[in-house]
Amino acid sequence: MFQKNILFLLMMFCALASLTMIFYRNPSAPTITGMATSSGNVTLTVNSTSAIQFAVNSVNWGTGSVNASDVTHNYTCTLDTEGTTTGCINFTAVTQPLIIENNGNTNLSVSIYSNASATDFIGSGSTFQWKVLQNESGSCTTTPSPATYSPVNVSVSNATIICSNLGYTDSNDSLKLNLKVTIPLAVMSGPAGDRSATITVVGN
Amino acid sequence: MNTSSTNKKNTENKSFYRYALILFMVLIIGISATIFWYYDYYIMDHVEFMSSVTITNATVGINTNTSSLQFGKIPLEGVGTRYFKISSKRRALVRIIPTGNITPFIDFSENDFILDPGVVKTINATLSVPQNATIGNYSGIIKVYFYRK
Repeated sequence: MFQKNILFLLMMFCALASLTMIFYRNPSAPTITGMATSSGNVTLTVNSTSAIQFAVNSVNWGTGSVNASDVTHNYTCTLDTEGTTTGCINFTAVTQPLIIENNGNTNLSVSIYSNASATDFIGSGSTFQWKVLQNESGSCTTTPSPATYSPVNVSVSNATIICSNLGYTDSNDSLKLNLKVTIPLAVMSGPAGDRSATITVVGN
Repeated sequence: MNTSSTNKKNTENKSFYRYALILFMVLIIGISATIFWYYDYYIMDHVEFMSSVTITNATVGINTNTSSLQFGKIPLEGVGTRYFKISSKRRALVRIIPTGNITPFIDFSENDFILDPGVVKTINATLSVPQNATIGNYSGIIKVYFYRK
């Protein structure tokens, strides 16, 4: 009888110990963390900088050429994102600028740069410009810059600050980036084909 | 005589089963303890954070939230980059595993690498949107595992 009791107790102990081993987690072990954070052993910090690149061909002017008989526009095709297609043949008018929003919950300093100058993008004698305006009034507490078409900046280290304080309230948190290119007739003597440039928007 | 012999056999059988049962229990405890101890030994730590993006036609949305890895809004063919820094007090093998429907778009500048103690490493998380992506919201969880090395 005594042996039976001992055996029963031993079995209970073993069963409990096994269950405890399976379900119990060592409290001194590092814990699983829910967000970017640090624990006893490791540290993880998300940087407050975000960069987004987009191809200028996402502004879809389509395919076209310079009007070689349009002396009025000096044999130069001008395209912008405000609907201009002067001196051009077959290009599609685009009236939709690129919208830059602040989707976070802090004010942002926003800067932009291009990976290609006008010459790199289109060819010698061309222009490649941008301007920035408020998309929703009061989005940028300072005046967005450049407010008129200016040559794109290709300096990564010295990117153009288009707004030093872009708000994050949904109704006042966006800018519009207009792009403009001019294509002289001389460029058409070069090889035909797609032209590409990439603009990077950096917020921090 | 026969009854005595049968009783002796029964007693021996009972003892055998008792010992076998005890051995079995010890084995279960041993296996459980090994799994338990080795698991905590092998995975030193693990961190998880949310990640999301909205793929758009012509809108760029910047999100600099630091409690998660938000890519904001990225147009088709666009590329978003966020950065995070990691360090460990102990030498570790770091493995970054994205989950969710954001996984096909996301890539890391380094993965499966050894992190020495005290070294702060900056990881670029790059989210590339292909031309044929479907407009919409994508999200997932980024899991960073630190294995004891």
